[in-house]
Amino acid sequence: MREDTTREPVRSTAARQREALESVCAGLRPGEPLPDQLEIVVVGSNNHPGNFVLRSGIDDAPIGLVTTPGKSAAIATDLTLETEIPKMFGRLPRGGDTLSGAFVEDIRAAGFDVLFAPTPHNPFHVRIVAKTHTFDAAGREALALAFDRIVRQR
Amino acid sequence: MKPLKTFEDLEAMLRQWVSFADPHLYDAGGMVLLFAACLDNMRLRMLEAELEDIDSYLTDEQKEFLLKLAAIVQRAQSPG
Repeated sequence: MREDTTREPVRSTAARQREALESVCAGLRPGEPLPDQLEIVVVGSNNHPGNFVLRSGIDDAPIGLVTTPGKSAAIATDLTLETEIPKMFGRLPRGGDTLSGAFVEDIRAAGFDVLFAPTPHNPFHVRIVAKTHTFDAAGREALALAFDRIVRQR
Repeated sequence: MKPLKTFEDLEAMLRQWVSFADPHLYDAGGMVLLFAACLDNMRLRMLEAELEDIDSYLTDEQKEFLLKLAAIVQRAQSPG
């Protein structure tokens, strides 16, 4: 796990990243755990464990084969707001948006797992699910520590 | 997304809105931006006299939530 730091976004082209990740996604089947080395992103500050409270009606709704409740995230592409926000939400980034990222390995170390859960709108969609920790206060605290803040739109 | 034909369609869509792209991923920031658009609309178009009447449109739960939001904004603006 890492401390609350701000990282520089990866500077390679979005197209190249997308191509590489599509090949990763092609090797994954819905419901399967993600490999340790993949990075995932969420929108929201990394130091707010409250962001990982499960939302009734959304976070407990089945996504295809993934029926375990959990928090949604997306496989990272280039770690920029310009790419990640439209991918997840279908809108442009705006002031206030914050992007945080974590490696799957760190999420597993925090007591959770990450399952591939693509949707028709978002082929990069994943769900963070409970493993040895649950989404209680202690679990949310551990999960929040696995995330780094990438960038915040001003 | 269903086409919006009536006022009630728009109201129901906003009440159930999750995200513009992915119904499994709630866009909290996006909802705040839509709320901000409503605030801008009201600020620019509503008459002072009409603002005086907003209380009558809101439920007790909505008023309580609005006060909670106001307190959060006020806290964020306080120095220190």
